[in-house]
Amino acid sequence: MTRTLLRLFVCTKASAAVEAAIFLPVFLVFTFGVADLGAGMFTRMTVNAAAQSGAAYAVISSSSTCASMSAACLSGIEQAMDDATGNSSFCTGAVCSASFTSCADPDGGICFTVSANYPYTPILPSALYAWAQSSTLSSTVTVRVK
Amino acid sequence: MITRSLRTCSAGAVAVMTALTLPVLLGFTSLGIEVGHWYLTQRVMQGAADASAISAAAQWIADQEAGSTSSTTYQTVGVNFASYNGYTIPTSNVCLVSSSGNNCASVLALDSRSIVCTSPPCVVVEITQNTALWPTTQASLEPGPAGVQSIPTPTLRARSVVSMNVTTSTTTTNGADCILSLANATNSVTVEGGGDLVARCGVAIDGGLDQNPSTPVIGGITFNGSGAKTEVTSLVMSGNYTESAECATNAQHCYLWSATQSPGSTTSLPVSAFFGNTATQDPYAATVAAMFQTGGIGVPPEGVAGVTLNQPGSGYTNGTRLFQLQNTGNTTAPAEVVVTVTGGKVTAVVGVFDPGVYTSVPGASVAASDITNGTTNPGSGANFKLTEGCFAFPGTAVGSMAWTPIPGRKYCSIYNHGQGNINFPTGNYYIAGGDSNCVGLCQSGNNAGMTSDVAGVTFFLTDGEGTGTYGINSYAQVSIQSGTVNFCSPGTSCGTTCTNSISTSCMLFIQNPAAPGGPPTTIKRYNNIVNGNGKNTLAGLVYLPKQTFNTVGTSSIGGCFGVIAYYVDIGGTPTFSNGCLPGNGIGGTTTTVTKYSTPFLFQ
Repeated sequence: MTRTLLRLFVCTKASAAVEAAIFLPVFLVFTFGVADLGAGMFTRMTVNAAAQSGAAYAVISSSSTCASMSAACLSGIEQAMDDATGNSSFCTGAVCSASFTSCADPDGGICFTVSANYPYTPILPSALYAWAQSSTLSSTVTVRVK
Repeated sequence: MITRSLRTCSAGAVAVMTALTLPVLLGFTSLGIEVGHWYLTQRVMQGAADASAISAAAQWIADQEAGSTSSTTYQTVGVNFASYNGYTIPTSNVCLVSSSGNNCASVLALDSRSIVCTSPPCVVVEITQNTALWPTTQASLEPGPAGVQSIPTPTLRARSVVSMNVTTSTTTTNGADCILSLANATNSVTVEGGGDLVARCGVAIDGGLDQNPSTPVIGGITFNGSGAKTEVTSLVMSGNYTESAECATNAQHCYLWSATQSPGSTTSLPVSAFFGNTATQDPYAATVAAMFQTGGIGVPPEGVAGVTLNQPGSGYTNGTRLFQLQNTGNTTAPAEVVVTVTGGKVTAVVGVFDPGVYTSVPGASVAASDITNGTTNPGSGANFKLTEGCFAFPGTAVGSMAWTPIPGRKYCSIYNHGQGNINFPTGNYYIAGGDSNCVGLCQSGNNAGMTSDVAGVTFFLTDGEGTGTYGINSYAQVSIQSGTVNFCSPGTSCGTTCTNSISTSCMLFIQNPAAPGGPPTTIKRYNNIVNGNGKNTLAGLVYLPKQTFNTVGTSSIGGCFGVIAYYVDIGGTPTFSNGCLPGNGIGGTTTTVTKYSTPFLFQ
């Protein structure tokens, strides 16, 4: 038994396989992690573009459709956000929201606040990123229209 | 021994290679991620700059519409909204480009790209980030070899330019009034004895508020006599109309004008037609004041007042002849003079036939030619010396030569003293100061009459330029004591409306606002009187801002005319209408509304 173990320690056969077995998980996590990060940044940029497009629609329509926060206004904002992302179902559920209220700014005015809160699904299990931050990517644009 | 075996041993080679390549791999990977981060941040910054610029533009528009045209609150709002959207910027990063300049020096110092604002005004917001200061960038680049360190770290710049569209719209409401008195007095308008002021329009009394402001404001109407009354569509007074309570409470004085009943309306003027404590602008004040400024249309030209013979010449046709003076380059209409020719020589000057229109009447002697009967006749050598001044109105003849009024000339007075009817051809007539016959435009004699061409005339009542009683201290007035007048101003065609096509459209009698004035009862000399037993017809505006418009006796005035005067003193039965007033009439309004909108014009 002791001699068998001793022979195993000094034997160099399949050492590459052993090293690869140890390093591969780290390498895969690293590789997929980088891919997730890139995809996350792209999604974050998309979410940002959606919020900006929604706000732009609200401003442009502030003297017509979006003179108040009507259903037509909200529908137009969501359509603009969908168009900006190239994803016709981007604003599904509670992803997109907009409000038309008095500005919190000391100088007053009427503000539109348009938000997009998009649940990002990474390649690696979300649990791996739980230590970092929420996997919901958010962007909010606040703009005064009057 | 050990060293040799170490050199030949290949065990752990992958670990060594990994140890060598992993830092480089990690470094470039993190650099790639960081570059992506720059792009993401650039995109977010642009969105924040856009939101900030739109918000600042909204504040700028609000300030303009509130009249705070020089407010810089838009900068504060721009800073605040940049903050709400994630970025802190200084106030100087928010600036304005207008058609007259900009305050964007700080923005251009940060970002040298030219600001594109093709349709000023524009609000500009600049957000910058120096990536070299980011911990993530520093971590991506360090530690590393010198070659990696030299990779440039960009300063991210996001600029937003929002153009505000400016549109101006003007809304005009025609006035409903045709009489405006400007004196702050309870008798600013007075109806005398059995007088009946009939107006197919409103009567406005402003004295004390917009014109001649003073306190207490008591502009009102007074009725002298139980038979005095008025038939109007409304009564607008600067004073509280209780000052003229007799009109409000006693229907015997105030009636509502009626298309079927007036004159003689029996419908009391309703309380809803009274407007107390209400100002009425003089809509023509600025226009008329400009007319009498140097170069204005109300300033009379120079003219020839007198002519003396200098050289008799020879070869002329004997008799009473009409000579035209030579044009010496300072006239658009040379003067004409009636002379007596005997033995082929000019022996006497009968009088000035046409004073001409001069920029400067020549001081040296001026040659003349015989133009009797409209042709150039024989003779030469005669010349005359000229005297500048106003032209004494000759009536219907100069000597034995028939004469009719000539427009565009400076008259001392225009006086029809029982000389039948005198018609005034279309044009402007300047009456400068008056003379011993008449101070302004006068008429007397029951068979006297004055008419105008349908295309209309305008009489400018102004001062003289000499010295003495009728010189610079004398201003022309209107005094129609008897007979009839039938005058139309340009654009009225003697009808019921007026077309505003020239600067004197709808203007009939226009008095220089520099004329002296006073109340009608104490200083009668400032009365501008329209009297007579016949029916006088006027079309256009009678403008006497410092003096009194006075109809007396049993005179009757009809036509489409309105009056602006310091006092209005009504006897007889004048009938007014507001269809023949310039512009929007009296009591009209012109509202200019400037609207702003914010199209996207992002840079």
